[in-house]
Amino acid sequence: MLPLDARNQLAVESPAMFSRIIFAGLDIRKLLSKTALIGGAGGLGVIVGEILARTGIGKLIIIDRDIVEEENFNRLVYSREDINKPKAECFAKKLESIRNAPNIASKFHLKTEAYQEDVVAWMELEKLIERSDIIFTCFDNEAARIELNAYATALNKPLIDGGTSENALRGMIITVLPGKTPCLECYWSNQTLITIEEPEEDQDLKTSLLKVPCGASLATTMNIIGSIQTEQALKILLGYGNIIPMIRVSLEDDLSVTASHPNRRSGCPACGEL
Amino acid sequence: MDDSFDIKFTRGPVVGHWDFIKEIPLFLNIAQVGKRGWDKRLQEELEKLEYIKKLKKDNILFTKVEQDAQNPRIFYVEGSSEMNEEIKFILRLPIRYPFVPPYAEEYYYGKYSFYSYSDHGRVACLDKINNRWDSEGRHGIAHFLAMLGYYTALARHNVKLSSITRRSKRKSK
Repeated sequence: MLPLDARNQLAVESPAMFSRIIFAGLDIRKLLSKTALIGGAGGLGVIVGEILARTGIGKLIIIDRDIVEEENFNRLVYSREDINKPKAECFAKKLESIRNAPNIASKFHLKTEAYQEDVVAWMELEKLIERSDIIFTCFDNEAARIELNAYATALNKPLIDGGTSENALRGMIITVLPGKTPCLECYWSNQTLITIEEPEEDQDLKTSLLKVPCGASLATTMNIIGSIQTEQALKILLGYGNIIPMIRVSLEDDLSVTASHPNRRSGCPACGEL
Repeated sequence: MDDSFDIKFTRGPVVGHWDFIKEIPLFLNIAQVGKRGWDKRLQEELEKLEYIKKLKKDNILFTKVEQDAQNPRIFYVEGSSEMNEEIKFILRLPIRYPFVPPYAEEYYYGKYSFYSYSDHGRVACLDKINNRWDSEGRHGIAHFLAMLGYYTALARHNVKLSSITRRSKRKSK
């Protein structure tokens, strides 16, 4: 954190949009030199990206395979003119428009890279992670998370994962410091036994009605989870405070936030040898 | 005229044959893409795909499974359903394959589908197949396609049941 007397000086030298951040003690000079990779520009990714852009991150790499659809309007950022356009590109443009005003010196501008790609089996992913200082996984599927987790742990890059529950009222933030805190695969042991006979629950499927798929998503929960993800990232990038490996948030009935410090899993395929 | 639903289909023998998945032998070569032993594994993958030609009894015929020329983790799959609906999708091998299953990007089976809800309908069967996958790496692409056929058949069966139920409710009002 910046000492009190340095805050005034830095605030005078910086654009007004950063003054409140500097008064809070964050050194935007450090942040401007950092690159963050955001995997998934959905409900969580847009929160993470917008906070980072407004706080002074130097560069954002945004990856999302989808286009903007009307169902995305329950989240922030996207608007009607974005429909059918790639999410990553729309999001990057909006963030640049917030930061890169003509009256602001170019050294304070936000640089972005947007990719409309599926991260699984994408050959460019490793290079992008190598160029990043911190990785965010804001995906809606496990395969994409595992992919980023594998590269991030191998390249020793911190990773912050966010996710919400099926009913959209609970969420979890996992912060991975490779070799120090559990990685995503430490939590998701994939121990299954081969099913010899037809699974009983599938027998039920044949006689019961198909449950209509429904992916619940609430901007309220997403904002809380995305904000905590970003807060953990700022601590890592600027080197202050304590990192909490796992934070659970519940908005069901009451409000609760639970921090826990689980151990790494021995023999984890991703981080076991670190 | 009530022409939308095939009542016989829903009352007939249950579609989908789990037995077929059991017929495909487990893999002997366990290796990740690009790592030591992958050449042998790939050879075994291609041999096991021969079993998939029999998959027509599961209502799907996969006619083509072709590896991308540049990216060894991507395969292009083509086929058709028993109603001659075109099936075409990209099969991606995650970084931890064969310890985790592949997934089928943009997989559609006619107008019916069986998808992971969390992927907004674009990644097929992820949750179901995840639970069935051998974490020791002894399942391969052939097993995945067989499971895909199995779960698609179940999904189709259920969609029809569901549609009929909705219609009969409307009539009773």
